[in-house]
Amino acid sequence: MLRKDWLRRELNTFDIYSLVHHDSQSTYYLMMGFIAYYAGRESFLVGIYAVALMIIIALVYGEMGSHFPESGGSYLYVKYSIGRFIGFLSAWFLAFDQIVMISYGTLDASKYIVSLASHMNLAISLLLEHIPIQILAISFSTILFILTLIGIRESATSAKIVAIIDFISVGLLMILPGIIITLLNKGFIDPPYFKWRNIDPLDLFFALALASRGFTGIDALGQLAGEARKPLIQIPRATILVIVIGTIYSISLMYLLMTMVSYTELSSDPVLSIFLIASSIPILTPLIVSAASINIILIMILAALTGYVSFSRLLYILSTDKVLPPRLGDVHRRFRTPHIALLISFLISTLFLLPGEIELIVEPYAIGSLINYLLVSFSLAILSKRGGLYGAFTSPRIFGVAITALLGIIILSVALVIVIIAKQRALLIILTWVIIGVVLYLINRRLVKS
Amino acid sequence: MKKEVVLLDSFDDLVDKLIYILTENGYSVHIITSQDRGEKFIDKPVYIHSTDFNSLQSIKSEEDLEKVFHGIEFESVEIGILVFPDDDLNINIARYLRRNGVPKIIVGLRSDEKTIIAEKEGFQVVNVPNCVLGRIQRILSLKFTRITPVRGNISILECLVTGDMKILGKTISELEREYNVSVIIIRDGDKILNGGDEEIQEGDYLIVVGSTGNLMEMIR
Repeated sequence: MLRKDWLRRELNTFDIYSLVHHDSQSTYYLMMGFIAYYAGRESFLVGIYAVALMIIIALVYGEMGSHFPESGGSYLYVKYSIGRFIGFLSAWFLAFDQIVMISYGTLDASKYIVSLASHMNLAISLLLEHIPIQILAISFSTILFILTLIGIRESATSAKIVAIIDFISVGLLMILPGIIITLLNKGFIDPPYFKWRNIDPLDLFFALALASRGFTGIDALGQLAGEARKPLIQIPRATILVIVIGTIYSISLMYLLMTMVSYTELSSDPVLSIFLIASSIPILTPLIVSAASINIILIMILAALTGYVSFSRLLYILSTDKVLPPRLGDVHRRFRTPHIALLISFLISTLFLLPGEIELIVEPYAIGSLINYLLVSFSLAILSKRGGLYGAFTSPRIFGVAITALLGIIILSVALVIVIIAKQRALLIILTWVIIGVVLYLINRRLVKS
Repeated sequence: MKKEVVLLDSFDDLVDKLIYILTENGYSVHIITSQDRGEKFIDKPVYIHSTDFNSLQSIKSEEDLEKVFHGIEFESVEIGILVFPDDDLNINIARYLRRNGVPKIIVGLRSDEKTIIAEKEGFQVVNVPNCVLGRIQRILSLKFTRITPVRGNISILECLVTGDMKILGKTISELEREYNVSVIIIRDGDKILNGGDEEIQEGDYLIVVGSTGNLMEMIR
């Protein structure tokens, strides 16, 4: 029987945004407390740096994405402008973070559930304490695997529901009343410096390194083009949503954290920063705390879902482009999803889950993404200078080069240097990953040629 | 595997129909158009190669062609469809695509003289005054979806029912009521079914007549 062995175009702009929302928000929700812990009274400025970086990455991806109607994101962008091998390398760097996101999202959600159950003295906490954390994480991962296998529409619907829960629990119940109450109490003139401690330069440097990794995941925008109904206009529109909502959330949450939470409270457990803000809202406190806690768990799980979608689509396009073995590009007969690539995603992410250590997973996270974003910025610079491919979204030009590309190259180079200096140990893991990728690439190209 | 098509803009609504049919059949489409027409295609899932030339007719030399087709990997291109209203340009580009190894090239031509030249060179020719879309669809042997305009807004849809389609399991009368169309099922190669209670099954071949919009909605 003949079958349609390509992806189904079903996503609208909000679907695309929702699938990206969790990936980028989850990283910031986790990192924000640590950024504030290290940056002290400079946290607000460091938060602005993180937002500026996010805006530039999103603009670069949005502009590049408005030229390409297929899944593949950065692989296609870099291949088109620079060449196939560098395109593959950029995608391979990114793939590491996408697979890590699956492990990290499910493991972090599991840990959060156990801590929350214990904190709230729920009866189930006794049971949860006796279950290895890996089992819980692998269970979540299995559910996500099935969900992403069934169809992109179902994944997008789940992502939309959780994005709406996030808007209600964080946007409506925390940020809005928090800002109103703070402004009524303190007035508009009180700057977000507060009474937090001064910090030494080394801590500030570390905070900047964390902030540089604060919004990775935006790249998923480009992976979804092959399933968007009108990719050339929907990808830039989803980018605008990422920028607007991401900026409002990040600036407001950092402001509230520094206004409503003391540094001592934050220091006790920086990972709970969202929880601490929720606890400080004087109205409907139990409701807001519960909503925020459930929301964090859902966001982490859905970030893992985005990891599944992104990594599997990347393998799919690399396979259909004959860079990786052809079986990885197989599409399920009924669901029209890349089922072999999804299975590979499940298996590799499960390997990362087995030690059950979140630090081990997070340590090398985001270096690959930053290298990828830098290469995409260079690609946009080349594409905009050379012309030829029409895009639905174009930024102003300086000497024929997109201004977003130039800003991207500058700010991402700085961010990458900061992160590499702060995370030297992780370089070995990244290097191993790259060697595996290059070997796979060379073997497969040889097979294709022969 | 990836299947790509290079499609030269026809500057009329034929290009829109071709894009729809080709993308519905799993092709990745590269549309070659002029600088000022790029925006017309932004709501379609295609690569838009808008040349620096204000008029495609100014594309003459090999250097111009290299510039226009920059970034397209010809090893993945299965088909070239050239239906621009200028016979010389269509043949010129057909020769360029042939040199780059594109296996199937369809050229839309108006003059008999050019038709003879193109056929001698081994290109598939469709004469533009005739039903171009229908001819191109027949040449391409599209496996999944064909929509051929008949008169005004009315078209004939021919499609193979696959396991992922929303019409699966519906009866002919349900489809006819829902989309205001007429449906015939061809099953097992040669059985013609048109009873209202017949259910649509995977592997059926459907012939449907109705408004183009409703037909597109039916198979979405």
